[in-house]
Parts: sequence; C-alpha cells; structure tokens
Amino acid sequence: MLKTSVSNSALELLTGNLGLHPDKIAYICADKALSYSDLNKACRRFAHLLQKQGIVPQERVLIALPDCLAFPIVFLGCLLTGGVAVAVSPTLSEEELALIIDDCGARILVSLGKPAVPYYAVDEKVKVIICDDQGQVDGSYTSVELDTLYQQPSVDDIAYMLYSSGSTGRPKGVPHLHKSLLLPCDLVGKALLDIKSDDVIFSTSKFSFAYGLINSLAFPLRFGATAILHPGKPDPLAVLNIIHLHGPSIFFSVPDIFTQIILSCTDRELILPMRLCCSAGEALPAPLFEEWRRLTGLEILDGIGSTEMAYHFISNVPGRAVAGSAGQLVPGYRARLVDDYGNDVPAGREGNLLICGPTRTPCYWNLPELSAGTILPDGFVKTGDIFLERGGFYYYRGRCDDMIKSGACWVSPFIVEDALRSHPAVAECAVAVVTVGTFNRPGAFVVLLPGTKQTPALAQELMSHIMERLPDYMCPVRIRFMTELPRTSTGKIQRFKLREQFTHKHEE
Amino acid sequence: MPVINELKDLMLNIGVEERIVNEVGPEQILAGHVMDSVHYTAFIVAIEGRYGIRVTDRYALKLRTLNDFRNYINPG
Repeated sequence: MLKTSVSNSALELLTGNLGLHPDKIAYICADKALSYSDLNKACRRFAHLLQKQGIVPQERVLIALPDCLAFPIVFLGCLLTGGVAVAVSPTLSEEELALIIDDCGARILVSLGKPAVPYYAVDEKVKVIICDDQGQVDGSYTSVELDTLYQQPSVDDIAYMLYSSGSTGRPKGVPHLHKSLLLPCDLVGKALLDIKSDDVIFSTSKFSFAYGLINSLAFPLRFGATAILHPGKPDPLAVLNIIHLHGPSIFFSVPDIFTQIILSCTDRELILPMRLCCSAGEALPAPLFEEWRRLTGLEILDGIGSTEMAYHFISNVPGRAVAGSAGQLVPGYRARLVDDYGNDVPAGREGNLLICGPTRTPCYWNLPELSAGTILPDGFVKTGDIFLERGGFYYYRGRCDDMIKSGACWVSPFIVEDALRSHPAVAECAVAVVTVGTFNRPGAFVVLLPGTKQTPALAQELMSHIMERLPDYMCPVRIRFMTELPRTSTGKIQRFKLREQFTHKHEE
Repeated sequence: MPVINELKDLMLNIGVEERIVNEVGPEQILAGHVMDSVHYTAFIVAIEGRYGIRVTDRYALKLRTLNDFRNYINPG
C-alpha cells in the first residue's frame, strides 16, 4: 500500500531561510557563528557522510553532542537521510549509554572529540563518528550534489527520538514524527510567543531535552531567528554573561536557574534585554514569578509539556501570565482531568491530567505494555501530573505517581531508596519530594536497624553513601529518621503522606 | 560574629570547600560564586535543622549573603 509522504522537517527548517536571508546568523556558540547558508551546506555534507556509512531510512543514529554548532548540523543531516536522530546528553554514564544503544539499535554514534569511554573501543557493533564542535569530520569536505540530497519521509516515519527517565530508572525511548518538530512552531512559537526573524533565542535547556530541542533547533530555524548555544553548565554567572554579551530577546529556562539568577544579583533591579522569559521543566512557584517581575519588570511565562507530547500543551501567554499557574490549554490540544477510575472530575476539583494533541508520540520504543498503559485508545496520554483547573487556567498540584522533578530532571524514588538500602544501618526507607525555598528536591525518610542510634553523624554518613552512588540532583537534600513509615493496609508505602508532612506550602 | 561562624561551619558540613568557606565574607553573594543550587538547598536545610526555623519560598529568594541569613535567623 502506498504510504502518504510528508515534508522532511529538516528540509523545511533549512530551505525556508535560504531564499530570504542566507547570510543571516542561525547559531552563535562562544566566539563562533554559523549562517543559514553554511548550516545548510554542513547538514548536507553530514548527510552524505552518513549515506557513505550505509545508513538506510529509519535507521537510528545516536547523537551524544553538547549544545554546540555541531548538534544542529548532525541532527538535521541525519533527518535529511531519513534516519532517526536519537539525541542524548553527552554526559550520560557508560552504563546509560550502553542501555540506550542496545535499546534503539543504533549502529552509528556521533560524538565530539576523542572518545574517553572504554566501550567505544571494544563494542564493534557501533561505528563512532568523531566530529569537532562545528560538525566537521576529519577536517574533510565532500563535494556533492547538495540540492537534491534528502529523503522524502512517509507520514508515519519517525524523525527523532529522545530518552526520558522512568520509575525503574531505565530510560525509555520516545520517538516523534517529523510534524513534531514543526507543529510546536505554529502552535506555540507563532500563535503564543510571536517569534520573528529578528529574535535572538537563548535556551539553557539542552538539545537532548524536548524543551531545549524545540527552543534551540526548531524555533530559530522556523522563524529565521538566531539562537545562542552554550555547551557548558548553566550556572547563573555564565548565563548572565551570555545574556549581557549577546542580548537575547527570548530566554527559555527552568525555575532553578531563575532562582539562582535572582540570588546572585546584588542590585535592586536587573536590566535585561529580553522581551520574553519562559519557564518549563517544573512548576514555577508564584513567589518566584513575583520576585523576578519585581527585579526585572518581566513576566516569566510558565508552561508545561512533556517528552511524549514534544513540547508545551499548557502555557501562559505574554501579557496575561498568572503567577502560580502553568497557563491555559494551547489551542490544538485537548485536556481532561480525571479521577483514578478515569471519570472526569467536577469543575474546580483536582484530577489526573490527560492530554491529546497532534504532537503526541506514537508509542514508547520497544515498550508495548507501557505504551498501552499510558497512551489510551482514544489518543489521550496520561501525563502523571495532577492539576486543578480554574477559569481556564491550570494549577499544578503534584504527581499521581511518586516520581520527583528535581532541577527539572526526573528522579525515581526507587533508585534513591535502593542506594540508601545498600547502607548497613538502614532497615527501610522512602524518598519523597520536599520543597526547600523555591526548590523541589528528594527528601529521604529512614528507619534504622534496631539498636542503631539516630545521630547527625550517621545522617551525614548516609548522605555521603548516596553521593558516592548517585548524581547530585538525585541526592536527598535532607535525611529524616523515622520510627516507622506510613503504609496502606496492604503494606504499600504512602509517599504522599511524607510529602505533606515535610513540604512547606507556599504563602497564599 | 558567632552566627556567621556557625553558618560557615554549616557550609563546611554540607561539603563546600574549606578554602572557599574561609574566604567568603558576610556581604558576599553566595549563589553562583560560593554555592551552586545543590549546596544552596542543603545549606537552607542545615540552617532549618540547626536553628529550628523554616525558610519559606518567599523569603528564600531574598537570602543572598551570610548577613541576610543571620538577620533572618535573628530578626531585629
């Protein structure tokens, strides 16, 4: 049966600008810049290189690059061939990378600089392509027929895949069709944010996150804007330095970064060049919204999206942002708030948020049971978030599972609990979200073995024990000793009771 | 400045480098210069535990220096 073909999203994003402003800068990274014309040529050269490696349509290519000029070149070059670009963080552990390679079946891995991880040398199944920070491989250039080098995808061809953490700790692949790179540009970029070609975009969220990918790859190219890339850690001083140097008009970040910028500022006011500040990744607390506005005169437009939906489905809009709210439903999406039995909750009541829209992932990769359990037959997706809707605005009320968002990264309590239980003094434990200032972090609640004394020194020892095993953002910010943990009649730990006990509620 | 010294002890306890703790002045901005967000939240938790107080999110955004924390712990 003939499949309907659709636009290759890479082709659409690249060629739209060539006629209008080929010499305009598409990307800036440190002291380097890349024009639209040069981006187009570099993407096609990389596509040709992949074809010489024997890439076939729908074959997965793993891209483990930082936010530098090489990323859009490699990502879009892969899409031009019809391959599936699997974007992952370059800071993944060897174990995580091996899991993802095994899961997505990638035969090609693109990395920056000299490989440092042992498996690169021993795993002959994976061809490693080393490029520099401008996407050049071996410094060689290939003369090809650049204008006709692209693959016309069919309507259900996957364009890219991202990996999202799950409750078991094993990352799950979330594939997306070509339209998922383009539709957020129309539904959010144009309709809500009115992004134009004279905008300069700076996103602290990296390309390997859905939020960062659309912010820094799709938005600038769709609208002919310029994007600033920062490969390093987004600490407040580096972020402010970039803002002062390059004067972005649109700033995308996460609540932690906005908080850190506020805390690092000595002046009574902070003059910033942006016309828009946007936040996602975690709920933006109302005090943070208000303090940022007091300091800068700017709103922060909070919004919520997911890897599964490719970008925002609820968002505040400029000039009408409501502090403490994630915003209103983005036109083009449908939402339901349901109880635990799937029935719509009465107006004004909290419910589990279900979302339906045109950017939904078709499935989780290689996870048919999870896909069936999360993506309902009517097309709605269980987000796992609890919301309240009031006057058309959505207010975040927590998770219906026990997952924690810490620094905009998912933390599975089970992973942290496993690490805690490996300490000989721990009888049992539970990890739940606690709020410290404006930050949400994991908090640990520990029952010790009989006869073991609860001391500050032991708490510190437990903290050190975890820090040796887990990344910073997963480490509990507080360890509280308990005599017993709250449980249901069947023995299941009630983490929500721990949250309620030790979370400071926002002042109303 | 006993409270400032106590706060510096707490900074050491949460893992801030000793050299940095010794050099930090009471009016020096902490975020980004002395502590990242991981240390900052651990610092607040340590203060809450040490002094039996709560740092609400509204006030947390105004606590930029050791003097700010000292004044929050001992208001007036």
